[in-house]
Amino acid sequence: MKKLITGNEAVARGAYESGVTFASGYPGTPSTEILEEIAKYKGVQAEWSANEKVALDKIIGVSLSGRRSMAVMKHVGVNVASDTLMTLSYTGVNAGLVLVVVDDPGMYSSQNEQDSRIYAKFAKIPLLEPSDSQEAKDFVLLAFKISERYDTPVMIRLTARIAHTESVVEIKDNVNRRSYYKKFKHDPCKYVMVPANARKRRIFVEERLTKLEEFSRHILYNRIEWGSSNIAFVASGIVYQYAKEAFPEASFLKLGMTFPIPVSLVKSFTKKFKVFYIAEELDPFLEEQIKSAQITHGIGKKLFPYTGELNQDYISRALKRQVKKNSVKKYTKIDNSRSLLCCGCPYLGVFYLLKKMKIIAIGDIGCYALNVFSSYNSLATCISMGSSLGIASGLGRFAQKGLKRKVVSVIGDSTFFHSGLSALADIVYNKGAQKILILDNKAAAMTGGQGHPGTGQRLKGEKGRKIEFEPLIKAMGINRVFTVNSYNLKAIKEVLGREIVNEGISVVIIDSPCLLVSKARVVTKYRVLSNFCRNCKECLKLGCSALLIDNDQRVTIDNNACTGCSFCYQICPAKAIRPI
Amino acid sequence: MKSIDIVITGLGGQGVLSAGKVIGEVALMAGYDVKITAIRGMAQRGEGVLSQIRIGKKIFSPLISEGKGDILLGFELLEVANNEHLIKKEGLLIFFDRLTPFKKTTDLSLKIAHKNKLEFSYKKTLERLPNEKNINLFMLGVVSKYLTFKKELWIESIKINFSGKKLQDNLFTFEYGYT
Repeated sequence: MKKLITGNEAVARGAYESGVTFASGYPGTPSTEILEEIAKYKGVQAEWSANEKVALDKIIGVSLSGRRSMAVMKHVGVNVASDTLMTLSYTGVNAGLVLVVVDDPGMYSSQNEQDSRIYAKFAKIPLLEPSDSQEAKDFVLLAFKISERYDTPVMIRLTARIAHTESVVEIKDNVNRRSYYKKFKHDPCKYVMVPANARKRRIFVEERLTKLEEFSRHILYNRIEWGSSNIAFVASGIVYQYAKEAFPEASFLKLGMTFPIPVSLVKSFTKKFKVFYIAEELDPFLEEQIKSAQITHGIGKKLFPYTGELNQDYISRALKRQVKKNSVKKYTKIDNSRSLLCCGCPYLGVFYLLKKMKIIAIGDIGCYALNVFSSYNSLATCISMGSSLGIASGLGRFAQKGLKRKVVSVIGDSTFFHSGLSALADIVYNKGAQKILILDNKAAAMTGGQGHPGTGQRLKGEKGRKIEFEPLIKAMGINRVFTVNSYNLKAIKEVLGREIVNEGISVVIIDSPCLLVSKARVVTKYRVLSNFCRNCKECLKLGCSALLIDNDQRVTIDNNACTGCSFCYQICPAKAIRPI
Repeated sequence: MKSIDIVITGLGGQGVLSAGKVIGEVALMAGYDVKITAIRGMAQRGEGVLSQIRIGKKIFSPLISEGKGDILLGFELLEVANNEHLIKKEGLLIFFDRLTPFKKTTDLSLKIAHKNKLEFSYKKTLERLPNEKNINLFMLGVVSKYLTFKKELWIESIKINFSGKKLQDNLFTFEYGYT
């Protein structure tokens, strides 16, 4: 039966049909739905891990136990898991093991635009790139075969456009889930990577790569489509679709497996043409492989940009030489005026206070990074998961001398368990004097409210164990740990004012659930009494989008949007904001 | 019908994505190839959502070429203005006059350039509907008259995509938009 499903749903379906018994990952747009969809299938265990490295480690264990397993993450997640990945390449697998990565060309919801395909080359493991949902499903089945046949982890790389595009997939109602089981074998030469063993496996990795190149020549997913014009493309993934749309008459070498590339196939295809085009988004991944095989008449990054997402219009203009010879493509302007924290978000108040108190906030990855779009922004940095503690540790120790301003780390609850914990241990060990705010909104809110160790909510709905922040942090030797309600500005101000001048480490937990997750009912809404309002616009500094300016340049409250958080009521100097 | 490119645009929570899915399923049942694309990122925070639906014999790119789209369905005025460049000159725009209050803070004079347009009052339409959440189905009812698919397919697709009380409300709203 034909179904219209996204690339993410298709990967999940592929995992189910392949007989995957366990899958894990860490939420991150645009990859989040894959694991959520896998979790809906009966007979598959699926759970969020504390971070991507833990997820990959767990699936290695499952593979050793003889069962097929999958890890799912966004591109930046692979950076976290890469330590494991680089050596996993040496050990290989027992039962099939597949890593699914979703890149974000155009940076619709990410902090960078890295081309994760390079990890496949770096780790010397095979790479598959589907170009629609049907291939996304089929490639998962293929990936497990390759994994088991060649004793290797296999990487499948999607882009956001593939992940979030629905296209037609043939799905059988009654599918025989392939069952695969290979007994656990104690084999230290293969799995204990001390130098003596690693040297042997290092040679195996190179031999495996030669065999994989041979294999990539013969798979159907690396295919030539002869066209009637003299234009020729080598392309993979979504860019194949764009190029095909722009030049349906052209000839194509469509690559499904993009590392290692089938060199002899590329040679026999491209020698028919005087020039050919290597169309790809982000880095010249195919181009470098093709050029290093001494095939030099291909045009790639000379025409196509390193930056952003491609489309058929751009490819068409590029071939007609209507684009500037420039490797940088400008991004479509995204209107950020709506990229604010939600109305009544529990974080609005604490950011307002930080700015008011002239404190430098070293931020982290999560919703709270949206504070940067507020006109009253207090965030100074946002770099990677868990970075806020280390960065503030570096900045804070010299802040008194040069900056004359206090520094705090601001980290979310899920991010804290992802990679803040080890940074906190470092600060205790090195006798730091850091001030850390944990914004605990009881969810990985930015990605849709997933659970984590601090909530005890597990992916399939079952209860896990919840780790409480206060006893955890106290057990690390930090005595000054305080929990305050996110909506009590007076209490937050008092604690911040007191702790910021304290000599040692202080941790303040700003505590209240995300409104999108808790779906709390509004009890009291607020309005502005115009005869009291002095029009000082102090309330607008909160960055709450329920506060509007009317045609007379006066503040009003959008009754539909107001969540009754009371922040504006608490800060109004004229007491002009009152409950309705 | 050879092929048709449809743009749906609005804000997170207005049912842009599910409206796209309903149209997609209709086309699929009618025997066409379909691709629907919408980057889902911050939509749950009420940001602009853009869904592109391409229907034809065989669809390659899920993206609509600049100025080649046939129909735009708009749930919010600013989003209509932001995305009408995707639609061809003689294309059709069907949209609500609603402008989110927040946007009024920005100084913006909205001009919809397309001549071929059908504008509905958001307020007046809402008065006749069981629920604001059904507004997308009203739009589908309206656009169904401009597409060549049989009405039964629309009903079938709505039944696939919704259930329970929601289904009843949605069928009612679709019918209202259709008539």
